[in-house]
Order: sequence, then C-alpha cells, then structure tokens
Amino acid sequence: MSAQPARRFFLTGLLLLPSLWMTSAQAQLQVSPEMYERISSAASASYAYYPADTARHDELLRHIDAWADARIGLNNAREFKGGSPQRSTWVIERAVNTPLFPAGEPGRGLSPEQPFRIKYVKKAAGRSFVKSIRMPVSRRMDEEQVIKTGRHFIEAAGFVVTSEADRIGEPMVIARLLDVLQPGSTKPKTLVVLQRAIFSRSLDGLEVFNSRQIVDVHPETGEILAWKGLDWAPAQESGRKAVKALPAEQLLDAIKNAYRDTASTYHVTAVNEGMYQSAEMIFPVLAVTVERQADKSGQRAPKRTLYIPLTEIGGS
Amino acid sequence: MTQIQRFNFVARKLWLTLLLALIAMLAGCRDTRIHVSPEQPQQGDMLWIVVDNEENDEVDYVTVTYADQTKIGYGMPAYFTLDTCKDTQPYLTRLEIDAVTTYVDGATGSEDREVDLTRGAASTEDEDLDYAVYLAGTSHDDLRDDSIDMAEAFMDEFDAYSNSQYLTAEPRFFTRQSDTYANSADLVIAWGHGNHHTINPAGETIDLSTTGYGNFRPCGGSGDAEYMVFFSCLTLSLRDDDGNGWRYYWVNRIATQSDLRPFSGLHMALGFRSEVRTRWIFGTDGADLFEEFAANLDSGDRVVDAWQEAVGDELSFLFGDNRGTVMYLQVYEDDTIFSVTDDYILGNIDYHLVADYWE
Repeated sequence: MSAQPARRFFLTGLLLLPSLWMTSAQAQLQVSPEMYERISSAASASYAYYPADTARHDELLRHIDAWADARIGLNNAREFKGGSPQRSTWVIERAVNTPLFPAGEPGRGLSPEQPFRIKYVKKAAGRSFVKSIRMPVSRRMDEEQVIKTGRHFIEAAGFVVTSEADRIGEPMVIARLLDVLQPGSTKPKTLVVLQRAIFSRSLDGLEVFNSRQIVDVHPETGEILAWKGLDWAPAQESGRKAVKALPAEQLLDAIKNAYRDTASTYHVTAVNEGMYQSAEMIFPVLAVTVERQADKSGQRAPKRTLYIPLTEIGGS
Repeated sequence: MTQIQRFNFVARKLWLTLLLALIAMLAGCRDTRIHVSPEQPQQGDMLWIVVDNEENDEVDYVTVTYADQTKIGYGMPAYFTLDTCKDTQPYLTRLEIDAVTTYVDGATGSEDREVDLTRGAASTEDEDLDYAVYLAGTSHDDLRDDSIDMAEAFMDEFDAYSNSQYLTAEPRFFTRQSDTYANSADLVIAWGHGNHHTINPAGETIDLSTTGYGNFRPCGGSGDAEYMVFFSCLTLSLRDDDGNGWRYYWVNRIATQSDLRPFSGLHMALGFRSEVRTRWIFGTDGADLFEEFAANLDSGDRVVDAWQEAVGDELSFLFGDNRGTVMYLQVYEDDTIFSVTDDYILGNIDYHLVADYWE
C-alpha cells in the first residue's frame, strides 16, 4: 500500500478517533471469543511509534536512482509520466542481456532471442527495476537459494538501511508459473517464469505490514530479473515514542464502525499486531481480517484486512 | 501420295492445329473467378459467394460446390450464400469452394478457392480503443464502495484507451446484451463475488462458460473485447471442476465446438485463481493495484506482466490469497495494450490456452 501525505493521515486520524467511541447497533459483525481475546491481548501491550527518517530515506533513494542510472542511463530512456505527479517511469530496450548477479559478479545469463525492455519506476511508495525477459524453464531453484540470492543482492547493493531494531524480516518465496498444453497433447506442462523472494520488515519485533523488498530470480541462471523496494523508509530511532495501546473496547468499536452501514453478516477471522508505514510515521496497527458470511449463491466475497491504529499518535 | 494429296494433308493438319490453338486461346480468355464477401470472412458471417467470368455471354451455367452443398447458377455473375454461424450450422473452419463453368460450346473451366474461417481480422473490429468499467452492485455492500475506489484509481491513471462505459454491473452486460456492453469495448473490468468460472457482480451469478466474447460474437458481427478483468474470488480457478479441467470452461474443443465459450476471439482473461483479500487503512490496496495496472499498461508492459506485476507488488500473498492469474491464447503472450492482432477460434493453429499464475 502506498505511503500517504502526513496531512491526510492526521485528518483521517481525526475522523477515526471520534468513531472509536461510537456504538453501532446496525453492524452485523461477529467477533468470536478467541478473536476478542486476541484484541484484548493486543490492547494490553505497549508499543512504540517512530517518525520516518525522511533525510536518510531521500539519501537512500538517490543512491538507488544512481544505481539504476548506471545500469540503463536514464537520460537515454523513454520517460512516461503517470497520472500521479510522484510517479515517473523510464523504459529502455536492449538487444543483449547483461545479467545482474547479487554482488555484480560475472556469470552466464539469459540470451533472449528478441530485444527486451528494462523499466525503472520512481513512485511515492519507492522504486522498482524490472527486466522484462520472459524465458520460462521447467526447473526450479531451491527456495533457500532464492532467498540467499535475494538477500545478498539487497545487502550488497545497499538498498536497505537496517539496525538492531529495524531489520529485514521473514522472507516468502513464490513462483510465477505457466500451465501450458501443447496442441495434440492431453497433459499440461508447468514452466517457471521466475521465483520471487519477498522480504518483510521487522521493527521492534513487529512486522511492518506494507514494507517489502522484492527480488525476482531466474530459476535457471540465478540472475536478478527485478528488484522492488516499497514503503521502506528508515525509522528515526532517536524519535521513538513509547505508547500504550488503546483500550480493547475502543479498538472493537473502530472495527464495528467500519461495518456499521452494511446489511450482511461478517466475521472476524484473524487478528495480528504489527506496524504500518506512512510517509511520515511508522506506527503500530492491529490487522483485523474480516470475511462476509457465505450465502446460498456459492459465490465467495473478497476478504478485507483492516489496519486499525493500535495507539494514539502523539499521546503517551 | 501425290503432291496434291500431300498438300491437302499438310493443309488439313495446319488448319486443325490453328483451330485447336484458337480454341485454347479462347478457353484462356474464359477465366472463372470466385469472390467472397466479406473479403476476409470469418466463422459466423453470412457469406456471399460470387462466381464471375471474363466471357459471361459464353457461359451456359456454373456448378458450385461448398460446405457439402452443390448448387447451379444460370447467368453470370452467379450468386450464392452461406450462413457460417455455428449456432445454426455445422462448425465450419475452412471453406473449399469449387466452381465448374460450362460454356455454351460445351467447353468447361474450373476454379477453386479455399477460405480460412478461423481468423477474425483485427481490421474488421471497431477502430476505437476503449474500455468499460462495471462496478459491483449495491447489494454487495462489502465491495461496492471499494469497486468505485478501484475503478477511479484505474481511470485516473490509464491514458491508452478512452472510457466508454462506467456502470453498475448487470448480468445482461455479459449475456444477452453483451454486444452492447461487455463485448463492445476492447478492455472490460468487472467487480463482484466469484467462484470457479463464475462471477456475481450484483446478486445474480453469471456462468461465464455460457458466454462468448471477441471478434466471432455475435455471428455476423465483430465483437471488440480483447481483455477482460475479473476482480472476484476464484473466477480464474485452475482446479478441475465437476470432472472437467479448467480449460473446458474457457475455450471450445471438438466436443463443445458448437457451444459458447468466453474465448470466441477474446485474447485474455485476467483475475485470480484464489480468494481475494484487500487491505484497508487510508484506502484500499485494491486502488493501488489498479493504479499500478494502469501505469504498467500505459508504459507498454506486456498485458500479462502488467497485471501480474501489479498484483504481486500491491496485494498480499498471505493466507494463499490474491493469486493473480491470466488466461490467454499463447499467440498473445507478448502483446501490449497497443498491439493490433487478429482473433482466433477452435480450428486455428493458434487457438490454445495458457495460464500464467502466481503459485
């Protein structure tokens, strides 16, 4: 989720705060004892929030932009301006692939038969660098190797600022696959387009839900096909503020308030504490997943995870 | 043989040779031609076959054979028609037309022509590049407002096409009035609840396997839809269902060739093979998804990548949710939103379906 300007955050916070004290008779929201217990447990803890270190973040982004410029020459690339004023995209076409390996080491990379594009995007959420080489293969790389490659790349490139409290968290590996059925064949074949390592972020032991570092790896050559750093501004640890959580009933009211105008029945199915990064702050939130009760149609409704601020920002 | 006899023999031979040469020359001028209208026909067209000749006055009749029918035309040009719509006719993929012209002097001439009916030329479609947006209905109070936010995020960002429709979805948009709605735009985006090959945008479930989009629908027309996006759970599921593999519901095969299927010229279906979960704090990450999707399309990404990258960047993969999926005919794999390509149906070598999906 993209970072938001501070003004919008605080206005939204002001709107949200009164709602915490509203009771809702119309909301058909069901909270099981187990989920209530999770909310209560979160409400009994203390947390901290941090300002985002915008100066260090700007420096980091300049470093990343210079890295990208060295690789594709942004002045020679075609620029696209997006609808959002904070978004710019550069695209360049290449006939020959210079493979990208974690620490810049040489290695055998892919040799596409056709020219391919390299895209670099600057947006409010962060940066992304993508080589649109699509050469699926039948083999997979070991997931541990994908993680190792991705982590090595991020650290060697200096794309993340970490500390004892603010670290790269648990990774997830997911593959992008093709299901191909050749004419005349009855058995589909699965090919691997890429394997993606998604690195989460841990701050004070809590996951920052919207911060992520993404590295796409080709399963055969192990070269980097893409890197993305999204919603990951360093925390200004000197500005750390310890705060107590809001009372459980206020958190519950905030959840119910989100469903006060609905006619259907919803259930809370998961509750997790974590943090969320906006443009200016990294603050504790309660992630509450809500699902609509199934009806007779057999159709599934999208689920929703609400991020409810766990504390008042600016309070103690 | 006397000299006179020899002379008469040679003269007769010469005369015969000249006569044969004259007949041959005249036969060469008797050129039968076969025209078809439309010039690039496709299955579904009401096809006109016109047989013509350079020497129409010398033609007695013409015998034309096509689609297991034999017809005779007197007078030239001779006109024949054939309804190639699979709804009422056998499934035709190719048409071999043979014309034998019989002239008044008994000579005959023949011509044949073969027509491929499985390729729908892009040139026959509407030249406008446009997209339609169909919001979730108010009965889906969980999704209605989010679908508006997502649609507006897309529309604010997307420049490549113009917006032709911004409506609350109704089942008829996908079924009996698809010509006016879902099949009238190049790109269609719809929101709803969903399940395997179905979507429920406003309270009524649409079985997409009984619908058809693309150049070959309606019969005799040229539907526009190339890309259809379904923001709904499980609609692009890759599991078997009811004993059938997933492809059964999306493309025709020999056994189902006379039935409707979504890929009746359609290039891609984009959506999710799993349940969908959005996150909300200052807005929905679904809006970020659609903004990213639009930006990716505008900057010339492959359409497959534009969707899959946007899903991978903006939505969470936790709990097995948000597994973005794109079903497409493999011939369109490298297409961008700016590509101009023909449409295909069963019988064409390029009609085979691939799925690109997050694991």
